[in-house]
Amino acid sequence: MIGQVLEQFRKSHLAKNVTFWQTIPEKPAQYRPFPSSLNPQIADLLRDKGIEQLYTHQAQAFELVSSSKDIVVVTPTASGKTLCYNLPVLNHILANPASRALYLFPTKALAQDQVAELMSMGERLGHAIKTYTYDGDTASDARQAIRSAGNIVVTNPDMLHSGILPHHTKWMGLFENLMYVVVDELHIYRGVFGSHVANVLRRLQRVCRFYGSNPVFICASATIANPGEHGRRLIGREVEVVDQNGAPSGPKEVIFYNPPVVNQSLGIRRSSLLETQRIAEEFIANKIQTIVFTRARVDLEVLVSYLQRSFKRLGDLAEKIRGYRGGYLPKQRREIERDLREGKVLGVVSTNALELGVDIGSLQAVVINGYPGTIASLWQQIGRAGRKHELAAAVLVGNSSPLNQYIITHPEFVLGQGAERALIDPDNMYILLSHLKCAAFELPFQAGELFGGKDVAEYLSFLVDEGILRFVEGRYYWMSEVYPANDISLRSASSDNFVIIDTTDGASSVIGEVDRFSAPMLIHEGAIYMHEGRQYHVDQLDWERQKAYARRVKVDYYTDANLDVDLKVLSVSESLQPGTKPAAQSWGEVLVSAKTHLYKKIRFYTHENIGWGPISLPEQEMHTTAFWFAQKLDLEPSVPSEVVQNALNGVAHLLLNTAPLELMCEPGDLGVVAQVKSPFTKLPTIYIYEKYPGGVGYAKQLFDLSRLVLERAYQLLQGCPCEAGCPSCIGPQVDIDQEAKQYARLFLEEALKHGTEPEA
Amino acid sequence: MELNQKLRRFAAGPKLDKGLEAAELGFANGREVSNPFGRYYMVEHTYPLDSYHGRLRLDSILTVDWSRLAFIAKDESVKTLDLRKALFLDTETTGIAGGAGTCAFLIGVAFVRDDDVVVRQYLMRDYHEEAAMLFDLYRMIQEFDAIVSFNGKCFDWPLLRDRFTLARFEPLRKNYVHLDLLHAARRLWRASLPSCSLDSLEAHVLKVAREQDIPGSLIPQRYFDFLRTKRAELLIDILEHNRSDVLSLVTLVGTLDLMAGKPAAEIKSDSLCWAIARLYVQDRQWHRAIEFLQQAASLNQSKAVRSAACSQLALIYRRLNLWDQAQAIWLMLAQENGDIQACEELAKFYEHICKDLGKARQFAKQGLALAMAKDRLRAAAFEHRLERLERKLARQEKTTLSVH
Repeated sequence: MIGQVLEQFRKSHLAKNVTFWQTIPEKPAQYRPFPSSLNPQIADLLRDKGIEQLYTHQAQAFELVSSSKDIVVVTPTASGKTLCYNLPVLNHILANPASRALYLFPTKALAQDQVAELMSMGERLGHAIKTYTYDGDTASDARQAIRSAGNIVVTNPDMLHSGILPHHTKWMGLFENLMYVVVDELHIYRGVFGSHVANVLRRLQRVCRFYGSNPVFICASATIANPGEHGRRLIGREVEVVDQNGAPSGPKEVIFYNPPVVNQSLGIRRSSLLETQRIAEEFIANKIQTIVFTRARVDLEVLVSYLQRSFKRLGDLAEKIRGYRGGYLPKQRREIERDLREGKVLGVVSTNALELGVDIGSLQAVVINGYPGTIASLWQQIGRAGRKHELAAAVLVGNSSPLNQYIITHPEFVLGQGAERALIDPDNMYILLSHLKCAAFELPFQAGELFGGKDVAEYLSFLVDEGILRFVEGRYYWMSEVYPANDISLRSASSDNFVIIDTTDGASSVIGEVDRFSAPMLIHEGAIYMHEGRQYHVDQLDWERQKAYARRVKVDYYTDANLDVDLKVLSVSESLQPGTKPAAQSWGEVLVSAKTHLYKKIRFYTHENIGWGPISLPEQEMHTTAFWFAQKLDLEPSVPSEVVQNALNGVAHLLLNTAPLELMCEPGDLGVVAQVKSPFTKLPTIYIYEKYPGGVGYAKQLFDLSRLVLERAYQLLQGCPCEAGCPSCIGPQVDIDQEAKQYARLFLEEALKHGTEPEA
Repeated sequence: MELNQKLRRFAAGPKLDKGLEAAELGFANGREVSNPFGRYYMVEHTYPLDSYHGRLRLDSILTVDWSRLAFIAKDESVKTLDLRKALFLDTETTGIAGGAGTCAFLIGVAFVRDDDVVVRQYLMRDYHEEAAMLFDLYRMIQEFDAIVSFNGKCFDWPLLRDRFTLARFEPLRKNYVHLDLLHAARRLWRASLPSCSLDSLEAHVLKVAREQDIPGSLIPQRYFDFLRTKRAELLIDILEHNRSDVLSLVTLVGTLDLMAGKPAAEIKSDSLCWAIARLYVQDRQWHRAIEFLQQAASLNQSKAVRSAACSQLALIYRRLNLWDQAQAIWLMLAQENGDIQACEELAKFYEHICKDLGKARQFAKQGLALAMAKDRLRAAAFEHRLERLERKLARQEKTTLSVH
């Protein structure tokens, strides 16, 4: 059936929009018999489930863990990953009933899935193994039982950070007997979040040492380029990588689809949402079980209603279309998951919530609306399609962002390098300092004690000078009334976010958050704040309390505040001159200061300026790290500097959107500044800075990979069919000045030409 | 740039004095104690049992009827409490946030020895003395069977157990009887006092005078100041505060016992009387409850207490089938206060007990009129009741007619 649909597709007029079509051949399973040390009860349980032998990676994981090795298992979706950790853990607990394990999942939903699975296995093993979830929803009277009795405690890093470690004395029973720590979805722990989590794991190991335990770490990750390195940095120990996947997969067609251009000069393409709908409809109408991935919640709801509407005309299929995302109630989600497994749901539209290890069985077709942001995610989503032997299909529909356009027109990027590197910097000064406070609260530091293998004496004596720690008789003691974990959030880029409160009709519900740095731009008084496609007018911004009060409106304009960003170089960490690298480039520490003075009201579609207002908010400063490169441009003196500025802004826009390809981060993690004549380099210069104070390593990575980054930007610019700049390359140009795109190209060309091959 | 420079730029603050290394406390009745874990400081005062703390003498503790305390504390195990095995305990801590970073730097305990109450205070003069201080406390606690505290069930006791864990002592095995006076005091004085904190009880009930007392919320910072400066005088009023608190635990027990032992007629506050009555109601001692409810109502100090006491009285009479008394109270409440509940009870009473449908209808109507404005749900119930009454009345009329 699916073969016929694909054949029709190949013959239709849509085929010309396909930029890539490849068949991934069938891969047979590689098995190994059950290990001899596997408890016969568990072997019986597996046989009951129809499992007669293990995949090679499961067997390898079992052996390594059984010999107390820390491991990272890297396997695609639906390859039996959970058995890689459940088997050795259950096997050990059956033999040593007092021993305990801690499971960490990035979200509550994933934790709940795991608990359901473990509980049912525990029951079949004669109730010998007790599994509990411990998170913010756990009732207070249940907590006592979990602390003292749970063999397996399932939680998330946030709860470990603020609820468990600071109260470790109440968890003595767990820590004294902790044999295993399972860290699933390791690839999610990257960037700022990952840097925080690495420190939480340092604290965990410190507390374990206090109670005399030394647990084995079992990590599992989606495909990333550096699983071993990432695992080692995250848990601070050497890890063995298990990446020879023994699970079978059926043949799969992978298709990249680029919506056609409908306006050549503005470079506007057909909506990827509508194209996604069209393709998904084709599959579902032919009774092919399909999952549609989309990034934004609002797109998800729109797609569900569009699909349901079109299938209403075709009879009863409308009820077989469901949405699935984080905000749904757990019960509802369980129901959808079950209906998917049982084939009752034919089409599901999901955010990346279903990309992770939720058990929904395998589907035959996947349609992805827009590049999900990282190659790892893309492969996870593609991996949702594919049954053991049947043909499956995965279609990526690109949208008009530069990143999407690059991916869709350069499929070799996805297939060639496989995945990007997950980056973290557990030693970021701000993050490390935060967690040293938490750690000192949990247990006094000894003089000379290392934290994550790092000498932290200087930090500790700083905290002594601040009056937060007291150093006496060779130890650093917590000397404050504060409970430090409450002030440190692992998730938000910066600990002090602003919240937006919807006050429509006397309500007061939080609808969103904005980081401090972006607040003056997005939620100043008079701003139109967009949320899930709805417009809100910001009535009041309470800077002190970090709250913006807004109400629903319907207006025909949006607001655009000019953020005047100034960047000063404080120190250069590494620098290279032309000849060894393209252009003169460096990375180092910078001071970014930003101030907004006024905002403009801009009418939709016509983009005319229909008014403005002043913004009087304090200037903001941030110390962070940046990568920058400078390139001399030989231009006629008659070229106005605004044109050059536009061109540089265009290059900056392009880089901001393509750099995340190498960094496994979001475009929002970075900021750019383009200077026609930089006071530091005296040349036209583009800075890419990290939006988290102190940076988490992106700037250095950009420096190391600069040629690649510039080349990609250049290729994308060259390949873009628009005339003078569009959202897919240098950004929309309000004044259609033909030269911006031309000078942008020249700037990049020069930058690349003046360098030789990068150093080996 | 040097790390230290960077850190400093991140949060510049004034440097603080490190202070002196050793503290020469020299407090009266104080001495340094050493044990295998190190050294710490102990202060011990003895108070003859016949001395006063506030308006009560300490020896009031000797005659306490512990089953009365058990009754107020709603804790059966308190009945078995043996005064000579009871430790009165109060801690001063470095904060109230809880967690492994909060510690008790001063632990005050009191116990009865011969003809005295002994108040012993364990003080760590700096963080490194904690283990030694805890060790002696840990050994002493094992000689006792019961703990008397104020909010200790939630705070002091779990905190101490956490500290013992951190010091790597074996967990305490004994099941201590724990009389937490906060809960008992709340039951009695919630309505009549602005707050049931120990401070407030001392001021209003125990009449303990405190001169130049340090407020509890300032104690952690004061201790940190002491650590930095090692100026002994910074601790003086903390120690006094703690001693006074521990002695207050002793006289608070005496006061609670006195209160619970008084006949109703001697209680001169209606809300206190009402609170005691509630205890008897919960304990299903109906006749004692009636006694206190009648007293609360007849004191006639606040309208709210009076009508609550009357309603409760009527409910007890109903339960005991004393319908005349119940009816009288309901009629009074319905007339004087426009009490909806009373109307409902009367409607029920006339319909089911007296079989007087006309009167039942009258009170159902009155209740409906009262409930309309205030309580939609109740109003609906009255409507329902009225409909049924009208039907019954119509049927009755028919029967009456046909008989004629």
